[in-house]
Amino acid sequence: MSRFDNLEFEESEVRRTPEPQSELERDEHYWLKLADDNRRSGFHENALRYYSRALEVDKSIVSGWLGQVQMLIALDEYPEADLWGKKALELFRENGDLLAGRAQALIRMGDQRGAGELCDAAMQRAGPSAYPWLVRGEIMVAGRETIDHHCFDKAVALAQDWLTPLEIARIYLHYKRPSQAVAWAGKAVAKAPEQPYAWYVKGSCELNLNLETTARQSFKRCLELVPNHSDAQRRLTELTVRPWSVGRILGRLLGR
Amino acid sequence: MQCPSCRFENMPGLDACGRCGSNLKLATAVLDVEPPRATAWQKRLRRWLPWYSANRFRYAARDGRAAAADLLDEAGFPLPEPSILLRFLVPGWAHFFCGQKARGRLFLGAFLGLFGGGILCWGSGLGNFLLGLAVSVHASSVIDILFRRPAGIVSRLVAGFAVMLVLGVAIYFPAGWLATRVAMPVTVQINTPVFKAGEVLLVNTWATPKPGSLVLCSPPRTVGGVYIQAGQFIDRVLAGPGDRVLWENGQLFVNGQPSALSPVNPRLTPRRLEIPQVPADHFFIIPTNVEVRGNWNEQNNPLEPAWLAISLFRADRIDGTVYFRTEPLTRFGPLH
Repeated sequence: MSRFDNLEFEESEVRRTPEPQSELERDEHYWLKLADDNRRSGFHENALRYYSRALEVDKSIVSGWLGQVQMLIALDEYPEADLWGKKALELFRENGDLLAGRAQALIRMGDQRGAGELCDAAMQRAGPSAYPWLVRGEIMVAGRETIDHHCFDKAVALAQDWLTPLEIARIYLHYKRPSQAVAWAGKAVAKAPEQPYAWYVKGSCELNLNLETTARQSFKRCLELVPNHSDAQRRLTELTVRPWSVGRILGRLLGR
Repeated sequence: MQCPSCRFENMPGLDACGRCGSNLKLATAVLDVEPPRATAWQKRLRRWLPWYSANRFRYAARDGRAAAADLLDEAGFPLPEPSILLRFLVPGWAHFFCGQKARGRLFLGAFLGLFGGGILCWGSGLGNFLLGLAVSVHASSVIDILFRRPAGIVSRLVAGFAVMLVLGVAIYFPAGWLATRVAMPVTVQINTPVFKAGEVLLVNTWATPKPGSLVLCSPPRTVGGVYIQAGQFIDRVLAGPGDRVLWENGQLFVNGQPSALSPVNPRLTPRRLEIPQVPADHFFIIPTNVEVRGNWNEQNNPLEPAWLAISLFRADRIDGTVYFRTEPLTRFGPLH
């Protein structure tokens, strides 16, 4: 936990992103900030592009390489993420977060053993980073082990950012466990109710659980925060024109 | 100079971090920073195909192999790397790969010599013996690589048995099955003008018979009151389906034209035999290599109905075409 996390600033001051005056001011930090903003909004394609721009300015930024690997995973491009993780690890040998990134790519491809080995190595080297714990939890979810929540709790304890529970929710959603995902998405929303992406993921989890009313509310909330959020708009339209389904009706009757 | 990866303070001028080995001159290095991307088609294919399941199966197989290797290693049966395992298919290849060229040459030479000899005498007792020795040389070459370090006699025996089993299932049983379909050895039992008793002939059971080819037939025991005293016999196909056939005084006419074809033993042929049209899926073969008995009088030429009955063979009664003689070696060569 950072020392200044709980300091209170004026709202306008916090929200303001300093616009660079010239091309020269657009340094690697500017691109990284842009990438992070896009990532937090769920625009992974844009975030990937901005991470690349940051690396064009300075190739020694580990977070840039890590961000690229994580965005490739978020975009379901696992073999590419694995390959890029390997390349990054050639440059930053034994970097814990990059090892964890590769482990996540491998576990998404089904290589449980390889992922476990890489994650073990990441845990030894990463330091106070939450990401290896997140990946460790995902490996446990993939292996249908019951102690995954310990890893996720540890990750949340290390990084008290709203994105961490949201990432956990997305992991559960990936492994088709929406009931657990919705709980984590709820935590993310509770932490940052002003974040449209958190509402969007929560809505997706609820949609997976056939909780149409609450899903509609979540997507609407997301659209209130960002009126042109195309994904939320699409989901809401899908919900409205959703065809009739026996399974869904049964799900409702059974209280799912 | 601080390492961007582990934050270790290195001495100025170093190229790599003293703690983690990361490159310290990355900031100015010429590197492609655009990651590889999956095309839309690739992503769609990955979604449609059971890619994840296939990957899981592949990784599970790999893990299973590693676990088995550990287990076998603990039990005293070391399992080599996949690159060597593949080279077990050819005797001596793994030795060449491991740098043992003299042994590799010895195993490969012995195998090729024995295998070649076995193929030359295929179907005979000597041929079987030589092929058996070739297989044992192959197994020995595998065991020689497996036990590069000292091992007990029990381990060697068990490993030898396992290797023979694996080689048999992986190579020799399928190869043997294929060989007995394409080159089934048949030993001639009786003397005829063409064949001598004891000769070994090769039969291709997958070949389609045509007029002129020698075939191995399995006739029914009785046809039209005629008793055929033979399990199988070899004779020549004289005409195919749809042909008009006339056999008269030792001369064959097919569709009105004289033909040079004749049965294997022309002395045991009927005087006259006429078939207006060979039925579909039948072949005209005069079985002159078998003993035929029936209630007819040879002096009065009553043979036609009886010969007619036994000279038309359904295609499924033909076991294959006889095309090569392997024994005796003095008569080694193709048959016409």
